[in-house]
Amino acid sequence: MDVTGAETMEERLAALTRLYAVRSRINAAIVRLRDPQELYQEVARVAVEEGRFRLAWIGAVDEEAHRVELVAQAGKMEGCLDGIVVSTLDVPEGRDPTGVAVREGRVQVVNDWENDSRVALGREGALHRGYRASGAFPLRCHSRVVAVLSLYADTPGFFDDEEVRLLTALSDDLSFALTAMAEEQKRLAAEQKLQTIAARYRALAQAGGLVAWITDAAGRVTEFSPSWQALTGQPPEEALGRGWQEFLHPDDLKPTGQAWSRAVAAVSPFATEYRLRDPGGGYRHFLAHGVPVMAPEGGIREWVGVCIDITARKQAEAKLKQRHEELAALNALAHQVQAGLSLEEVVAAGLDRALYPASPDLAVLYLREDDRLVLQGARPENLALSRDEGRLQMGECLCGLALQEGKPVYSPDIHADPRCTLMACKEAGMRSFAALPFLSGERVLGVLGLAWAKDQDVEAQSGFLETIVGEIAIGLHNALLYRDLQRHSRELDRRVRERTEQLQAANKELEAFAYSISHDLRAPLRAVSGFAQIIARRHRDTLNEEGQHYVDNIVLAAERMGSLIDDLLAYSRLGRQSLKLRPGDLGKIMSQAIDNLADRVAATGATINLPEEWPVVFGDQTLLQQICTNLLDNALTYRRPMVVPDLRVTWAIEDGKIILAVADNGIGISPEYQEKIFKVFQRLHSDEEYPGTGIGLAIVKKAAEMLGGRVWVESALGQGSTFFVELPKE
Amino acid sequence: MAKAAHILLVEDNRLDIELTLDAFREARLGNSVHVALNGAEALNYLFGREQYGDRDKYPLPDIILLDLKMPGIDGFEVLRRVKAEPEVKRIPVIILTSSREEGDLALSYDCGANSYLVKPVSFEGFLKVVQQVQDYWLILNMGPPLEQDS
Repeated sequence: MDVTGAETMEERLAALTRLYAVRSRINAAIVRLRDPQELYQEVARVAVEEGRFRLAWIGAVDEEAHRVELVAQAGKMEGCLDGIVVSTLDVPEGRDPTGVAVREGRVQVVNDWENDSRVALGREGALHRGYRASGAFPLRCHSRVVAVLSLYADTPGFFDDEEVRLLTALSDDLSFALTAMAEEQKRLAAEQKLQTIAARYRALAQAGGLVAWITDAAGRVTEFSPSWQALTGQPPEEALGRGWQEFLHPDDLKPTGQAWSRAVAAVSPFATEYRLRDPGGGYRHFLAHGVPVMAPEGGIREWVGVCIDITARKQAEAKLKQRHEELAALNALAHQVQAGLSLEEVVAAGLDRALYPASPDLAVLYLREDDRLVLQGARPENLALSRDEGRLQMGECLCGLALQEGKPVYSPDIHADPRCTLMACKEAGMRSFAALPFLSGERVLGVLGLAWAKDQDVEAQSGFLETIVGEIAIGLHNALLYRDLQRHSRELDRRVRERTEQLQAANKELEAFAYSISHDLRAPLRAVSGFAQIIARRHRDTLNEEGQHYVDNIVLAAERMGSLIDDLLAYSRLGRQSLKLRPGDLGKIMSQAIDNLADRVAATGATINLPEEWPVVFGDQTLLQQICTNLLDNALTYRRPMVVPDLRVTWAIEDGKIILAVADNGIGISPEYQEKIFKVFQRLHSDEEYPGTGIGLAIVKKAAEMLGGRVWVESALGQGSTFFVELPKE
Repeated sequence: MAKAAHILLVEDNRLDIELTLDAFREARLGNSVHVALNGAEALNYLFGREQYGDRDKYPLPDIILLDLKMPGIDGFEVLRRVKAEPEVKRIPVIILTSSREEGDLALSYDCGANSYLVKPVSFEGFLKVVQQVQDYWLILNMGPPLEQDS
C-alpha cells in the first residue's frame, strides 16, 4: 500500500510537475502569440505533449448559435470529436460537462467515467478510447465565458484538488491572455480606423489647396500636410516647431500670436487671417482655423487645423471696396457739381472730390481761356505756383498737352519725362502725373492735373479718373453756360433799361415840345383874334360887305384855333401832371360834370337819367371829372337832328372794377370807326355838322388808361351809342 | 378912391401890350398904366433906379400885372424880388399869363402872387378879364397901405 501509495505519490508528483511545465509553456505561448486561435492550438498541443493528457480540445462559444464549436484539438481522438454537438443550453446535448461549464462558468470535473451519470451519453466511446477522467475549464474574456478547455486523462480520479487548482490557474492565465488579445485587437482596429480617417483628410486637404496642421498643446507644429511645401517652398521638416513662422508676414506675427493666446486661454477654436510668403516672394492671404483636441485625462492634447488660401477672395474684396469708394465719390461729386451752378463751387468740388479716393498729393484745376489754360484752384491750397504755372500755353507741359490733344496725358515719372517742362510739380516732390481734360463734346473746357509723390500706375486708374473728370466736365459745362446766361441777361437788362430811359426822355421831350408849341401859338393867335374882333367891333362901318365877311371869317377861325390849342394843351397836360389818387363818390363827380354842361343841357333840352345809388371810385378826381364831362359832352353833341337827346347813365361791378356806361339816342357810329374815334384829331364829321376838336374822346381814353382802366363803345349807325369806361373800385 | 389907380404892366409881347391897353381903354378906365417891357425894367421902375428915380413922375403902382414868360429876368424872379423888398412887397401882384400849368400856378403863389389869371384867346374874353381886374382889385378890394406904418 505504501509502495503503491509511494508509487501513486510519485505519479502524482510527476503529473503535477508536468502540469507546471504545461503552464510554463502556455505562459510562454501567451507572451509570444497574438491570435487566440493560435493560442488555442498551442494549448491543446502542449496539454497532450507535455501534460500527457489523452485528449485536449477547445470549444469556442458561439453565442448566437448557442453552441460550442470545436476550434482546437490534440491527442487520441479516434473520431470521437467528429460531429460533436455541444449546446450551451440546458438540453440533453448541453448537459455534458462542457455545456455545463459554459452555462455555469465553473470547472466541471468527471473523475469516474465508468459510473458518472453526467457522461452517460458518451461513456461507451470514451471508455473505449481509454478516457477515465475529464475536466472542462471555462476560458473567459472580460469575465464572459468564450471557450472551454476540455482535458481527458486515462487515470480515474486524475483531477484531484491540486490538479484542478493548477489547471484553474492555467485557465485563468488563458482568460487573461484572451482578454488582452481582445483588447489589443480592439485597439488595433481603432488605430487602423484612425489612420484611414487621417489619410482621408490629408487627401482632402491637399486637393482643396489647404494646409492641414497639427500642433502640440504648446502650439509647436508637429505635422504639416505636404501642401505646405507646395504653397511656401519650405520642406515640412523645416516648418515643424516654429520654423513655419519664417514665412509669416512680419506685420502678421503679433496679431497671430495674440489670436493663438486667446484661443488657448479660452480653450476655444482658433481663427485668424494672415499672409504667407509664396515661393515667388509675394504674399498670399490665408484663413487659419484650428480646434483643440482634448486628452482623455483632461487638458489639451493637441491642436488640429487648416490654413485656407483666401487670396482670391481678398483681392475681390479689395477690388469691390475700391469700386464702392469710387462709386461713392462719383456719386458725391455728381451731386456737388450739379447742385451748384457757380463756377467757384464746381471748381472747389472738382478739386476736393478728385483728392478722394484717387488720393493724389497735388491737384490743379485749369479752365480754358482762348488758347490758354488759366489756373482756377489748387490743392493743397497753399501750393506755391509761379506765374508760369498759373497760365499755360497750348501744348505747354503735360496739362497744356492735354488741352492740345483733348486726351488724358499720363506720366509715371515726370523727372524722366521730357514732356513735363515746368518745375513746380518736380520741386514739390511729385513723381507720377495725370493731366485730364474736361471735355464737352469735342471742346476742351479745362484740364485737371493730379500728381503723386510715390510711383503710381496712373494708367491703371484711368477708368476711374476719366469718369471723375467727365462728371466735373458736366458741372463745368453747366456752370459756364449759366455764367454766360447771366452775363447775357445782365446785358439785356442794361439795354432794356437804357432804351426805356431814352424812350421816356424822348417822350417827355416830345410832350414838352408839343406843350410849348401850343402855348407859344396862343400869343399870336390872341393877337389875330383880338385885333380882328377890334376891327369887327369898332371899324365895321368902314368895311364893305365883303370886308365885314372876311373879318368875321378871321374871328371864327381864330376862335376855332383857340379851342384846338386849348384841347391839345389839356390832352398833353394829361400825360405830364402828377396823379392824386383817392377814393371819391362817382355820383358827385357825375353831378359836377352835369353842372359844367348845364348851359348845353338846357340848350338841347336833353334828359339825363341817373342811377339812384353810386359806387365809390378810386382815382384822380380831376381826371374822373374830365372823363364824365367829355362823355356827356360827346353824347350831347352827336344828337340826331330834331331829336331831343336822351341820356342814360348806369354802372355795374365786374371783376372788381366799376364799369360806367353812358348811353345816348344819337347818331351812332359804324363799327369800322369805333376804334378810330378815340384817337387825337380823328373826326367823322365836319365842323359845320358837329362842332368839335376831335380831342374829347382821346382825353377820355388817355385819362381812363392813366387810372388803370380802359374805354370802349357799343354802337350801330343811327341806333345811338353806349360808351363804357372801366374804372378802379376803391 | 379919390385918385385913379396906377397900374404897372410887365409884358414883353407888344401885341399883348397893345391889346391890354386897348382893353383898358375899351373899359373906359381912367387908370394910368406904365408898361415895362421886361423883368429888368420892371424892377428898375419899382425900385426907382436909373431913369425911374423920380417918384413923382414914376409913382409906385397900386397893382402889378405880371407876365411869367419873359426873356432874361422872368416873372417869377420879378415876383420874388418884389416880395423880398419891404417898400413894394405889399403891392398886389396879379399874374397874367397864357399858362395853365399846374407848376406855374403853384410856383406863382409860392413866390407871393396875389392872383393868377389866364389870358383868354378871344378879345371879348380878354376884355372881360380886364374889366374884372378893374372891378375887383382897383375898386372893390381894399389895398394895403403902401408906406410902412412906423
